Amino acid sequence: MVKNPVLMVLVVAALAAAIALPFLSHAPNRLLSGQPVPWGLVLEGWRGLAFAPAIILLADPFLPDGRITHALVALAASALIAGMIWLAGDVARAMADAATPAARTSFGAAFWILAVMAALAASDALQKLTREPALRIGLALLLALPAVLLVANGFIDALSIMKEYANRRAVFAAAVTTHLAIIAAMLVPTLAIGLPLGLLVHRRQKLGRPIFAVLNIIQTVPSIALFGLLIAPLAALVAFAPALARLGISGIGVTPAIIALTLYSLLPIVRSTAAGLAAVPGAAIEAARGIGMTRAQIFRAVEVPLALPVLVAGLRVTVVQAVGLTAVAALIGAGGLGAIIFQGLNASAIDLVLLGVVPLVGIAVLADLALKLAGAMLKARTG
Amino acid sequence: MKRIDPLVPAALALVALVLGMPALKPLFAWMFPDQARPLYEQDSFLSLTLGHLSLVAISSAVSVVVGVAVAIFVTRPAGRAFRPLAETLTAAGQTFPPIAVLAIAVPLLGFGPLPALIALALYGLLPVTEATVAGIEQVPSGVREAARGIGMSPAGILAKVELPLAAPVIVAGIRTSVIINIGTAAIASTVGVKTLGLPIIVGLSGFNTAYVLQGALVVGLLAVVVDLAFDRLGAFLDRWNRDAGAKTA
Amino acid sequence: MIRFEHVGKDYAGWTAIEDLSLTVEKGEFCVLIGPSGSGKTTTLKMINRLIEHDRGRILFEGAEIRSFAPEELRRRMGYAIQSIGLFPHWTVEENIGAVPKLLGWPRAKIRDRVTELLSMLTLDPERSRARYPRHLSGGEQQRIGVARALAASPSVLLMDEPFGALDPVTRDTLQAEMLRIQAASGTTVVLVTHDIDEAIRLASRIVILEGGRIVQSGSPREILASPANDFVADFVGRSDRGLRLLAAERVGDRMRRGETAAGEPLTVDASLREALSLFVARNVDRLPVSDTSGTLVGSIHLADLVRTPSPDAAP
Repeated sequence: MVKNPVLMVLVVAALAAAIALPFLSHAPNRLLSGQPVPWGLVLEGWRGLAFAPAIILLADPFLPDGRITHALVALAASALIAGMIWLAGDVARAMADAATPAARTSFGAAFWILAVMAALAASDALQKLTREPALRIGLALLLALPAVLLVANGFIDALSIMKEYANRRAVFAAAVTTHLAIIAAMLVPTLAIGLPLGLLVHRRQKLGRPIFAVLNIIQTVPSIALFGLLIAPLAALVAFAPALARLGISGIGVTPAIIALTLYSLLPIVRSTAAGLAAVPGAAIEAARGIGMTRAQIFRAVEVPLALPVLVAGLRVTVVQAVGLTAVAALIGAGGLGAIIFQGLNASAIDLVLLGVVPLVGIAVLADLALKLAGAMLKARTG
Repeated sequence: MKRIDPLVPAALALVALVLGMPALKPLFAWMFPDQARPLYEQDSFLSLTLGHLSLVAISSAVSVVVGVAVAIFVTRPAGRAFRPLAETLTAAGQTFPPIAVLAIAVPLLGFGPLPALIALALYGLLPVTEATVAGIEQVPSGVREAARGIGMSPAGILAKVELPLAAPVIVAGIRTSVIINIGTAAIASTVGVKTLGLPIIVGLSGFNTAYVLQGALVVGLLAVVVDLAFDRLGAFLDRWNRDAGAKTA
Repeated sequence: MIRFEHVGKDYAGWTAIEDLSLTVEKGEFCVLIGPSGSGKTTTLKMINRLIEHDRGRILFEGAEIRSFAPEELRRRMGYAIQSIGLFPHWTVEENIGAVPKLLGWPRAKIRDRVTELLSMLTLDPERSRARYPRHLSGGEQQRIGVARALAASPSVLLMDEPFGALDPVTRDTLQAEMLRIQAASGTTVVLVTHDIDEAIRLASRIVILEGGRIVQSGSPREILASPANDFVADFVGRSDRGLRLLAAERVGDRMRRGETAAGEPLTVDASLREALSLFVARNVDRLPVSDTSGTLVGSIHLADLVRTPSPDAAP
């Protein structure tokens, strides 16, 4: 009897994808679209073993529910993804040896679908294995480690995406650094303005209405429009006070990006600060007053620690949002991973696009997990 | 003092701006004296706006239909097992930056409106599903039980009890989805779709700040108007719910 | 110890406290009681300046409370409330040690005091000190609340309906403990409640408030025996007054020393009301009495319940 219908659906979908879609595709050069690499070549010799963990995943819907099953599924998923990566790298190397340097081998749709399905199966298994968020996140990171190690150690260097990387290592590193730097930089004014604003809204509820109305309007404006709207005034400001230009401020590039990011981040931060402070139990504050704590002591020792988990949740939303917005900011010259993505789109080079998108999604997911973990740890301490 | 409803003036301003943009040419010429071409004239703002709206409308319609359907399935006994998967997908999916979805769709499906539409529909699906599930879940179980008790069929309960009571939350999710869509559709101009993002993109690559400003003003105002409209819709639903409740009470 | 001199408090449009004069002596267990809106909580909160009085003077140990900084005043008093208000992110030990920490006590001294207080409140110190409030029952939480209030050995303890949110059994247990602690430490207690039975059980002096004024003040016996007016009479209960009077007296005051009787003994500290209940339950008219260590010391007759206390009654 099928114990787990979800797994069943995932397995069937994965099988369908594997059969119908290519695992890898190969093209003699960048301009021509890739042709599917035949399964015969992919599974040649010992290569088929890479798919061995799939047997566990296929059998899972019929296996009994239990910790061992879940652990096995999670491990099998991790092994399958790592195996497929290794396999792709191996096949690509073999094909590269036999072809011209301009030829490119890239991941096919089947690879992505199988990888995503395996990841979902692992996530499902982890959720059933433990309730502790910290444990889940830690295990997830561990499970992702083999795949990350393979990529980091050059096992897939023959694949087109890695070739693109190899061609522009410095540019890529600069893009990642810029991207992260922009996010880090925007957090400073965001917290400097947002936290006090949130405190103000909490202490004086009446101000909340107009403040949130304004922040909502800002949030509604499409990012590219806000970036665009900031260019003219900023350029005029710099023209008016040339000293600013020497400080690095200009109408395009990083300056409007950080300003716009700050504006977008204010709503989640202000809202979560106010909500966090509101969630502090009134009885605790009354008791604190009664035993003789000063206003400042109550704020520091009672309100802040108890409001922190909600604030961190707001920070999580802010950072994840910022990752995406920064990518759009590439359009106004801010650099970052968005620049690589748009360059790829302009040149119709999917591998370049992926070179930008995969790290972008990776950063977003990592930031999300890290802040989720922080939030869970704080919540555990304050109940 | 009665609060002035900003929706009507904003909508009028939008229509005026879209239709009357050519009339503002002298203004932009004055604002940007060094600009040889102070007005975006390659396409009329009307056609761009309509293009933008149709892209958003169609993709959102798909998002809503599919999203609500998935959410309903996942909250029925038959689909309960898929709930964690749905929640993981919607949560994980929203960690994806919207631009990433657009960027991936293009190499897979090519340039043009169709891939953009698919990308927008897929991404817009997530907040709608999440909100619909949350909305249905927050319907008090006592109300559901009462409906069963008086002999309503499961389909009847869904249509007459669960969905109406979940409506405010669902609409909030649709609102989020549509607003994100409007923004993403603007970026879709980079992949060959004619939307209001086009003047901005063309302006940015050509260092024409006037173009950028024009595009930004229209799309910004569009987003604000749509948001205000949803706000009105939400208020209307609340009143309707309350009245409907009073009638049956 | 605490003196109110013609104190008044107004809120917008109405007067909460009207010319209140009251003295709470050192070592008293003073219970403020009255219906909702009578001003009892306001009166309590004026003592530690959580609410500021508008008219008159309030003196604490001879000095006007306004001469202290509010926080300084509050650190010299214990304060326990109905909703308890333990800090959820602090352990039991940290909660109890809150005021000592504010006063700058060394860590070792705080640790010892926490152990002492936990034992006094019949909680296992080693098992309880590292736990978090959310893992404790309501009764345990309120014990910690009381411990926190007593931590810095204040001379006065202010309590605002501390047992109101607890179930009857826990409430009964904690009331008994409160009596024991107060007798042992001699702390002056001012407690607000709306429960007349709680007041009778705990108080050495009851102050009845109504509409912001004191209607009657006296020992439980006095109030029950001679209510000042109809309001008080109604408040202490017309039909149960007799039973409540019995509840205010101890077996030890009416018993006959040296006599014997059959059956399970009653302790000297038991109330006459418990004795009446046992007489009826066992269908007898005399019961043996033992002291707190279990030694038989005499007996009590059913008829003794309506006699005035005899001169040779046990202390």
